[in-house]
Amino acid sequence: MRDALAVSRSKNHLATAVVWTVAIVVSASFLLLISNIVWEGMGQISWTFLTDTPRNAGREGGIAPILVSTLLILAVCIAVSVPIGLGAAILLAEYSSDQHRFGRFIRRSLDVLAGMPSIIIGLFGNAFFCITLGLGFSILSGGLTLACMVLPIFIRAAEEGFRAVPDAYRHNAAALGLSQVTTLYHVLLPVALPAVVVGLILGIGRALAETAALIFTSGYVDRMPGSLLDSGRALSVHIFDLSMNVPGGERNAYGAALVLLILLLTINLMTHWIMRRFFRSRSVSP
Amino acid sequence: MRPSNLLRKMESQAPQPIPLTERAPPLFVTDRLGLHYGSQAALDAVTMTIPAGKITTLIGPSGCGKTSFLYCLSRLTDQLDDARLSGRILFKNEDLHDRALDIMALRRRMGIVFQKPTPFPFSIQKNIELPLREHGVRDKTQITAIIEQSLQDVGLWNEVKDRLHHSALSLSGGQQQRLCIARALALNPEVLLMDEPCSALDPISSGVVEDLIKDLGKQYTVIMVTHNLPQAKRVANDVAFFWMRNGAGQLIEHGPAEEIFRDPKDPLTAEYVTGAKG
Repeated sequence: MRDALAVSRSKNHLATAVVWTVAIVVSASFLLLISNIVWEGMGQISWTFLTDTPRNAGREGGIAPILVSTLLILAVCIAVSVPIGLGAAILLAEYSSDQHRFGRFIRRSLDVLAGMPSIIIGLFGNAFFCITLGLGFSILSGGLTLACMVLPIFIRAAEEGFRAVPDAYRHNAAALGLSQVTTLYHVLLPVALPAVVVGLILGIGRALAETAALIFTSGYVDRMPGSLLDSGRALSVHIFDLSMNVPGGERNAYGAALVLLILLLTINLMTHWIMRRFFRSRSVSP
Repeated sequence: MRPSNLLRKMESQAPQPIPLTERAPPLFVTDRLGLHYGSQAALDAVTMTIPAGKITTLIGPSGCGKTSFLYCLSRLTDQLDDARLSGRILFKNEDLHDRALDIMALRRRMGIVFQKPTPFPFSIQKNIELPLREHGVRDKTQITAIIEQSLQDVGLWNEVKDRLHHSALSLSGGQQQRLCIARALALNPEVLLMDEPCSALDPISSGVVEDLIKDLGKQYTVIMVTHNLPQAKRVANDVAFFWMRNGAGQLIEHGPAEEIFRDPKDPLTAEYVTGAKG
């Protein structure tokens, strides 16, 4: 009896140790990564760094055109993904049952697409957007290619969001004779919104980090883009180029990496802020 | 959408009283109504005539098809993926299975209240306003008047009149259920269908809602599912007793509440209402 107790107690200790070790290893590597970038990049960031054009292949000067290109690519990506993604998610969650062949086929395709290596999506983007549609190496091609990567993640997350809305809302809306459009817009969307937004943030995170797909589609010209049809270098491509191809470019690479991190964080916080405002305007208590 | 109905509502604030006589035309007639969920039978050959102007309660043990029956009457079975109906349902002599029937307009004529209070996740006001707008009421003063009237009708007005813009989710369970009833009343329905409206509430709220239903019975036809026999005894004019037989819900006995509770014809009913079975 006593032995059994001792054994289970030592098992408990072992489990506690394992859990703590894993937790410490994970958070330590995360902290190490972040602090390294912050430490090395801090000195590089200044107002001129953000507003200057890169000189000497990026070793000197700033990242202004790169920042602009990145934001434009992102804007194209979001403008395309949100309407298509929401539409697809609503179709899957509200209009096709779990068992339906069509819905199952689309879901499976999306899951395969979500796991597709980005280099393959990049090649597809190059072949389809740049060459077939004749958009060339451009911000538009890059944004559209990123949308192809973001959509599978976004659609699946948004679909789960709609599926998680209790059926009671749908039944009550039907009982009151509300049309499907009203039900969707006024009842289901506000409830599903947090999950939809999380899906979008995940997608944007993936888009901002993307390098391979963009090298083939938006190119690496580091001039200020004049239109969406100009080639533009994204931050991730810039970081890759500086650290791999430009000897002596490491310091500015760190600076650009820190900017990328801050950008991600800002988008994250901004989305939450917008969501809260949106909810308040509909007078929903969080 | 039924503009004529709306006009009627506008002309007389109080709904027309329906004479409480046996000769009142039946509101619902079901003829060998059957319901299957996939291959699972839920209702079997329910033939029943429900009079207007009365509170009819549907009693019986869990899983005997009472709620399914209520869903059939309102065609909410459309919302369930694999529900299949057979037989016929007439609502005021209109065939509910008529393909040409406008379901949205039909639901407007029926106020449906569910077991779990489900106000929508926005303000108290918008909970009532949204369905009104959906059905073509656009005039602001009219909307305000209807909101006040329906909240008065459920005794919620004094409790919420200063916070109509607060989230409906901030109300207590009993208040939420009364809001749901008000939301249904605002559309001036011809019948109230209620699925165990008190069972998810605490005893005090449950009492409040029960009194409310009794009151509403004076103005509206009410069809209510309940598990609670004493409650059925207190509020019902008519009682319908359902029982599970051969794996599907069947109607065993239907009649005035007094008869069902004092002198039931079917031995099964007798055992159930005396608590010997179920």
